[in-house]
Amino acid sequence: MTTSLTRPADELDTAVAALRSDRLDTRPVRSDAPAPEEPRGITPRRVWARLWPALLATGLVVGLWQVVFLSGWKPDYVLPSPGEVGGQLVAFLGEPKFWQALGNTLVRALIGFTLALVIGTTVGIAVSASRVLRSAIGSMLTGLQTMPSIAWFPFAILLFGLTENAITFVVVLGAAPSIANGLISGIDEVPPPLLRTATVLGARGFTLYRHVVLPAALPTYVAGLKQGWAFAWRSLMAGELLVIIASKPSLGVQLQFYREFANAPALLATMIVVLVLGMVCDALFSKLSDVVRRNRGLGAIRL
Amino acid sequence: MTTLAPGATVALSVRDASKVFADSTARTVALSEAQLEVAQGEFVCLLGRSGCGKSTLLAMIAGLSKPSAGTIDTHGHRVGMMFQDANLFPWLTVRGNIEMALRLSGVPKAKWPGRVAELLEMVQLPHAGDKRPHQLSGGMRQRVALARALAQECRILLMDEPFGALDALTRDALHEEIERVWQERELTIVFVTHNVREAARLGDRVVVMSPSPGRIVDEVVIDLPRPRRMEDSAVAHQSGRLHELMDLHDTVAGRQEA
Repeated sequence: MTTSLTRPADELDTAVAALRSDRLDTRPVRSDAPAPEEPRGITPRRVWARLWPALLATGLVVGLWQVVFLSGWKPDYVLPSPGEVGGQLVAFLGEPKFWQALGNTLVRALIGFTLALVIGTTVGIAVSASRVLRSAIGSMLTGLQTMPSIAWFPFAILLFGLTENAITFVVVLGAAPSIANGLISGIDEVPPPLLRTATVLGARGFTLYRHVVLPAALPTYVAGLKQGWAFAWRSLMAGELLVIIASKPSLGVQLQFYREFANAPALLATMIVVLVLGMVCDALFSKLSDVVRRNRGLGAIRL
Repeated sequence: MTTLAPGATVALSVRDASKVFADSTARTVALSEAQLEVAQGEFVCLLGRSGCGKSTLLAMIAGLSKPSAGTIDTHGHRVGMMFQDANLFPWLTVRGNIEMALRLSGVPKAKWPGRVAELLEMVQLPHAGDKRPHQLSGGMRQRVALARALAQECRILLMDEPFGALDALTRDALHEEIERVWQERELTIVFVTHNVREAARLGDRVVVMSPSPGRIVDEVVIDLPRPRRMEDSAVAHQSGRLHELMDLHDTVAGRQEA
């Protein structure tokens, strides 16, 4: 070792002493210094970096559509051009009936999802806390999740008739199992060392749940919410196509109506509205999930 | 076998403590009839290779598991614990982690800001309150874990290989840190390690443990002035003695098995 030192021993001692007295300031610059923080905030460059692939993909789809339209594969009253559908979309914005339909659909989605949230969360907590409940309905929840919700509709219509309740019933059945399962796996996957630490710190029973278990389960719970939303939206569209309530416009009714009147541009424009609404809500849940995960130093995930 | 100074107050007594893990196929004696007394203000290291029951003993002192036989008495002292991983709650800031400890020990909310500032000052992270655990280095995380354990005014601090995952430089710094805090706060520390030199560096007394079955086989008083340093020749000398002792016990154990 000493041969590799280029300065005399006493000089080294002085340097070491100086460093040691200076220790407080040099501390953070150790070999295990934390990783530099990621830059945050929204800049035009970052927005563009996120936006252009989506714009490009949309452009490609619209371009392909235009090519198929021009090829004359189907008559234009069945497959209209992108331009015509776009024009119809703009026309929707001025139609009170469209806004009414949109409003009704969104209110149904909101009510159904909120109910599913309450029921799913309650069931999730109950199942994760009780061994009996877990063996009783734990696997049933997974079974419910795999059941296509449209298969519930004939039964729901028998039960409730052609009413709002039939739709809500199926939306809740579609979404609640995902939400419950997300919460259950979140709670099951809380790292045991965190629980041990919390126990040593004196957290027991409800306090342990409230302050440690539930916050630790949050990322998985949010993933469950996102999946629950996707199921709710699908069930709702199926419901609005099957359970048509007179005098109550909705996006689903609008789809049926435009098919019956062979109004292809309006049909496609409505489909685009359904698609965009689903994507926007999905993006909101992704954002929520990213925030939750970033706070914990977890990488963002795409579900 | 315990050699407490005459007149010392006992902070922790372990009497005939055993831990047996049994299922339908196997019965494992993780710890067999351990005897240990630790004086108030003493720094005791539990030293041994994996499987010698040192973490089992520590978990039982912490109340995380119950002894299968025997008793453990902490004489009413509050017990805090640190692990190899800092185990900070990742959804809380550094401040939030310390506040959680204050909340769980019933400290009124009005006192939190002052206590948090004092504790962060003590572990030399006065400006880290708003950081998230993932933004800290391993050494900084252990400092926060120390502050969190001390937030509860524990008198006995149990440390389960707390610096085992850190690089040597950070570990040296934290050795100085824990030595200082131990003296300032007059803590009683039980420190588990498999690093012989670390035991000689830190302990007033080193309790040597041996595996299969896990048990206490010996103990050595390290009568060296403080503050010590890892490089001190006296620490190296004591560490050499401990090594020889451990080898000796292994040989004896081997002969018994053969």
